[in-house]
Amino acid sequence: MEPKKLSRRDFLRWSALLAGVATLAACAPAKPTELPTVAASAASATTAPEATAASAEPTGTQAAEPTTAPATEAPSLAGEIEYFSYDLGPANKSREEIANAFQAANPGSKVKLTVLPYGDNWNKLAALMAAGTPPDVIYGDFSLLKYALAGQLLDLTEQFNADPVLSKPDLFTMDMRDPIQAKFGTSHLYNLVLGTWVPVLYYNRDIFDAASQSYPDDKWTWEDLRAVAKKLTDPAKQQWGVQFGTTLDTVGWLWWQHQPKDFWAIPQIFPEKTDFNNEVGLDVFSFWYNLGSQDKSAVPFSEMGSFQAYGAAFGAGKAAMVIGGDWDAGWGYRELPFKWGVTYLPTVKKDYRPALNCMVATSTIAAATKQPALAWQFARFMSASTEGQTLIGEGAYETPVLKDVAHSDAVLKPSWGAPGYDVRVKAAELPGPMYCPYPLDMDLWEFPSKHFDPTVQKLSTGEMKPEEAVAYLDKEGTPYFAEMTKNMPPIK
Amino acid sequence: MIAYGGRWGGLPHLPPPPPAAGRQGCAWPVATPSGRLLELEEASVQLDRALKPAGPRANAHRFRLSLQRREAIACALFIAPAVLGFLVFSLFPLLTSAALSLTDYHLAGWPRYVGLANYATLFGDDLWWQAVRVTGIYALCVVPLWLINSLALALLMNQNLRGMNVFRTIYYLPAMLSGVAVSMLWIWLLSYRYGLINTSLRLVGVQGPNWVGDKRWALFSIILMSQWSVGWYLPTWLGALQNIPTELYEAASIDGGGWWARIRYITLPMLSAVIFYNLIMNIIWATQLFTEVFMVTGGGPQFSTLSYMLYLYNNAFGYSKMGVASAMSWLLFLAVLLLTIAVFRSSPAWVYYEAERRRA
Amino acid sequence: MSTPTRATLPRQPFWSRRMRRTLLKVLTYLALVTGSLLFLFPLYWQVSTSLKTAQDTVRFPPVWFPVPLQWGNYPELLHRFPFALYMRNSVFISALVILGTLLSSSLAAYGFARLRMPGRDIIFMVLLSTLMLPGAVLLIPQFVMFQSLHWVNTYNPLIVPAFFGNPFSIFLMRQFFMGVPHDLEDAARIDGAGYLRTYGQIVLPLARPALLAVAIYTFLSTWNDFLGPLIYLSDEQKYTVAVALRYLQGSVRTRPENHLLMAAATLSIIPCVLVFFFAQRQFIQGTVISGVKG
Repeated sequence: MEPKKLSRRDFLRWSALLAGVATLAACAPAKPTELPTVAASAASATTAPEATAASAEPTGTQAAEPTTAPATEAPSLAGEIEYFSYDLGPANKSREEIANAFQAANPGSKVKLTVLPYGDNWNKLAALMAAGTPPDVIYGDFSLLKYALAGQLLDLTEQFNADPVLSKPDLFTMDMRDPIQAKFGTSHLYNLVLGTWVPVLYYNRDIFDAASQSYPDDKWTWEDLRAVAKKLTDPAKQQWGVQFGTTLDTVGWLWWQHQPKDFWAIPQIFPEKTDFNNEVGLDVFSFWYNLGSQDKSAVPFSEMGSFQAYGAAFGAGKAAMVIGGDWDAGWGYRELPFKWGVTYLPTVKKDYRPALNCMVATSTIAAATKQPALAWQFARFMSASTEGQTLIGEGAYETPVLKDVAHSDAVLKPSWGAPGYDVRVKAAELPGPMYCPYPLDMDLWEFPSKHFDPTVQKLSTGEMKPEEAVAYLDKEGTPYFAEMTKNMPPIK
Repeated sequence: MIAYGGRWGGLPHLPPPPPAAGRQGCAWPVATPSGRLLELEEASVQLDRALKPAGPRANAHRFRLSLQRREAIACALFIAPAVLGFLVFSLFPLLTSAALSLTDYHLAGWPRYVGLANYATLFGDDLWWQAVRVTGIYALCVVPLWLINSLALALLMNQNLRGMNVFRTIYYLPAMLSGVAVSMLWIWLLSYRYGLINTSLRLVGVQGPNWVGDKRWALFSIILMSQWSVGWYLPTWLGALQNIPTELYEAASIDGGGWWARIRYITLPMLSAVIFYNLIMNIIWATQLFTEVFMVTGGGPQFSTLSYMLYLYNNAFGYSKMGVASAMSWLLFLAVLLLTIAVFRSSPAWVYYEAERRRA
Repeated sequence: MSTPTRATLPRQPFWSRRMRRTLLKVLTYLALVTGSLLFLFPLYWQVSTSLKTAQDTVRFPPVWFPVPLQWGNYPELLHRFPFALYMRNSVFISALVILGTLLSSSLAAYGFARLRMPGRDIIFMVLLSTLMLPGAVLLIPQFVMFQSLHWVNTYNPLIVPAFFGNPFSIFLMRQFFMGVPHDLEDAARIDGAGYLRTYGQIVLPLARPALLAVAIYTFLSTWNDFLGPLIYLSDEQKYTVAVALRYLQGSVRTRPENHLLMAAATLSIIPCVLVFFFAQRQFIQGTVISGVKG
C-alpha cells in the first residue's frame, strides 16, 4: 500500500513537472532548429528540464581565437545565412570582403548579402519578421529592442559569456555588453557590437582661410561655434556658418553633454513622462532658435534638399561647419572639392568633455534562423576577430571595437588619406558610460517624424519659441511614451 | 503604387473606355438579354411539343429548364476565376483588414483587440486632420482642373485640322509614363537651385520660390505636376465628342447660337454621361494621391503635402501601426463611397442619357 | 427684282465668316503648339540631361543642348547598376500578367455580358466595387497570405493574381461585348456550338481592339507598379524597373548625378513610349471600344 501511494505521488509530481515544462516550452519564444552540438567547454544547459527554453540558444561555441590568431580548433560550419544590411555606400565593399573572408575560413558556408536603402530596410525587416522569415544576421545602427521583446531575436548571453575574446572587456574600446542591458540591468544580450560612431565637427578649411579665422579645436564650446558661425555667414555669397546634421543627432549630443549620466530624457522607453521642459531642454532648444532664426547663420531646413552634393550645403561648399557623424568621412566626404578638417564636438563648457560614443553598429540574430551556430560565428567574426575587425576598419564606416585593430594604421591612416580618424578613435574611447541614444523607442520614426523634427524646424525659422517648443514636446511626448510603455511586454 | 485595378485593389490611373457606339450612353448599362435567342428557344419548344406525340409535358419543361440551367452553369464557370480571385485576393484580405482595424497590431507579436480605439485616435490626431485637409484641397483643386483642362484641350482638338494626330500624340504621351520616373523628373525640374524652372526664371531676373521646400508652395507644385497628365482623358473625350451628331450643331447655328451656347447647350449635355463617369473616377483617383508626394516631397515641408495615402503608408510601414492604418483605409473607403453615392444621386439632375431618350 | 444683285446684298461685315474661321484656326494652332512645347519640354529636358556631363547639369546659365552628347552616360549607368537586368525582369512580369489578365478577364467579361445566371449583375457590381478600395488596405493581409505560401521573394504574388481576373479589364471588355450584335452568336448557337466555342471562335476574334486596349493598359500598369515589387522582392537581382529607380534615387548621393538618374528614367520610359506609338492609332482615334458598328 505504502509504495503504491508513494509511486502515485511520484507520478503526480513528475507529471506536474513535465506539464510545467511543457507549458513553459510552449510559452517560450520560438526555438531554432536543433544544432549539431559542437565540442566545447559548455554546459549542461540543454539537458536540464527547466526553463532554459526561454533563452533559446543552445550552448556550444567554437573554441574562440585569441586576438592574434584565427580560429584553429573550430570545426567549420556549413550552410547558408543571409546578412541583412542597409546601403553603406563605399563601405558595402567591406561587407562583401567580410563575407568572402568568412566563407574562406569556413568552407561550405555561404553568406548572402541583402542591401536596401536606409529606411526601406527597416520596413522590409518589419514585414519579414511579421511573416516569420527574417534574415539570419541583421545589421543595425540601433537596438532592435522591439523584436527582442517579442522574442524574435536570439538571446546571445550565453554565447557571449562563454566566448574567450568577447568576455574580456580589456580587449575592446568599449563595453561590449548590449547597451540596453547595460542601462537597464537586464541579463540578456541581443546585440553584438561590431563598431562605433561618434559625432564630430567638420569644417571647411577654405572658408576659414578666406576669412582668416582659426580652425575649431578641442577647446571650443558651443558659444564659440555660434560666434564663428555668425562671422562666417555671408548672404551675398549664399554661405552659412553652420549646417546641422539630423535633428535627432544634434539635439541629442547637445542634450547629452548637459547631463551625460542621465543620458537623454527624450525617447526612452521607460519614462512615464518625458521631460523636455527643464533648464537643459530650454538651453538646447534655445541654441537652435538662436542659430536659425536670430543669427540666421544656419542653413535653412527648407533648402537642405536643394544642394546637389553629398552633405548638402556643406558638401557643396556653402556651409563652413557641419556637425555630423564620423561615417560621413568614410562615405561622401571622400571626394569633396575643398579641404576639410575634423575635430571633436564643441562642449557645453570649457574643459568638460563627457564621453560621446553613443551609437553602435551591431549584429543581431533572428530567433527564427535556421542556422544559429553559423549566424553566431559570422556575427562573432565581424566583432571579435582581427580579420573581421580590420575589414570593418578599412570600410571606414564604423570605428572598430577591438582595441588592437582600432589603434592600427589601417584605421588611423586609411589609404585614401582622410583626416580625422584619430579624432574619432580617441573620441570613441573617452571615459564614461556608453549609451545608445536612439531609437530605443519601439517604433523608430513616429515621435521624431511627427513631433520632434517639425518642432526643431519651426524653432529654426522662428515660428516657435523655445518655451513653446519644450512645452509642446512634453505635451505630445508624455502620452506617447506612456502609451508605448503600457503596451510593451516586460523585459525579462 | 496602385497597380492596374488588380489584386492590390484600388483604381488604376486609367481613363474609362469611350462609351460604346453612343447607343448605350448610360454609364452603367444594363445587359439586355438576347431576345432573339429566347424566341428561338420558345419556337423550338413549341416545335418539340407539336412533334412529340402525347409526351408528358414534363419533358418540354425539363428541356427548357435545362437550357437555362446550362447557361447559368456556363456563366458561373466563365466568371469563376474572377469570382475566386475576388474572394481570395479582395474579400478575404478586406475582412482581415477590417478585423485588423479593431486591433493594435505592430507586426511584432499578435494583434490585440482594442475595439474602436483606433478610430478614436484618428479623430483626435492632428496629423490625420492635416492629411484629410491636404487631400481635400488637392482633390478639390485637381478634379475640376483635370476635367476642365482636358475637356478644353479635347474641344480644341476636335476640329478637323491637319496635324491633329500629332498633337494628340504629344499631349497623350506624358500621361503614359511611370509615376516614379515622372516624379524623378519633376524633382529635378523643381529643384530650388538647379531646377529648370528656377534657372529659367533666373534668366529673366526673377527668383523662383522653393517649389518643394517651402510649405506655401509645395502643395501647389504637386497640383501643378498633376496637370501634366491631362492628356489621359483625351481619347475618351474625343470619342464622345465624335459621337455627338452634327445635326444638333447645325440646328444650333441655324437658331443663332454662338460657340459658347453650342458648348453649353449641346456639347456639355451630350457629354454629361462621360463627365459623370470621369468625375467619379477622378475623385477616387485624387483621394489616393501617393506616388508623387512619396517621391517628391515625402509629406512636404512640415506636412504641407501629407496626403491621406501617404499618412496611411507611414502608419503601416513607418510606425508599424497596422491597426491604425487599417482604420484609416476604412475611413477613406467610406468617404469615397459617400461621395460617389452623392454624385450618383445628383446625376438625374444633370446627366443625360442618349439611350434613354431613344428608348422612349 | 426677284434675284438680289450685288448692289442689294447686305454689306459683308469686316469679320466675315471665313476670316473668323481662319482666325480661329490660327489661334487654335497657336494654343496647341504652345501647349505642346510646354508639355514636351520636360521630356526633352530629361533626355538632354541624361546626355550631359555631371557639371553641365548644374551649370548656370543652363545648357540647353549638350555638346558633345555624352552617350557614355548610358554605359556608365549600366555598368554601375544592372539596369538591363531590371528591365528584363519587368518585361517578364508584364508579359505574364498581360497573358493572365487577357485570359481570365475576357472569359469573365463574356460571362457577365452574354450569359445569364441569377445574381450575375449583383456579382458584377460587387466585383467592380473593389476598384474603389484603397490599395493599402489589402496589402498587409495579402502579404501574410503570400508569406504562408512561401511566395515571398518570388514573382508569384505579382503574377498569379492576374490569372484570376481584373475588375477594370472585365469592365472594359464587358462594355465591349455588350456592343457586339447577337447575330453571329445566335447563328453559332443554333449550329450547336457550345458556350466556350462561341466565345473562343466567334466573339473573341472580334474583340481584338478591346483585347489590345486591355493589354496596353495592363502593360503600363504593371511596368509602373512599384509598391508590389518593393514588398515582395528582396533580391536585388529580381528588382523591377520602378523599384530600381527608387533605389537609384536613394543611393546616388555622393555627387550630383542627375545625368545618371535621368538616363535611368529615360531607359525606363522607352518601353512605354514604344508601346504607345504602336497602339497610337487605336488609342488616339478613340474608336477602340466603340466596337462593332451596325
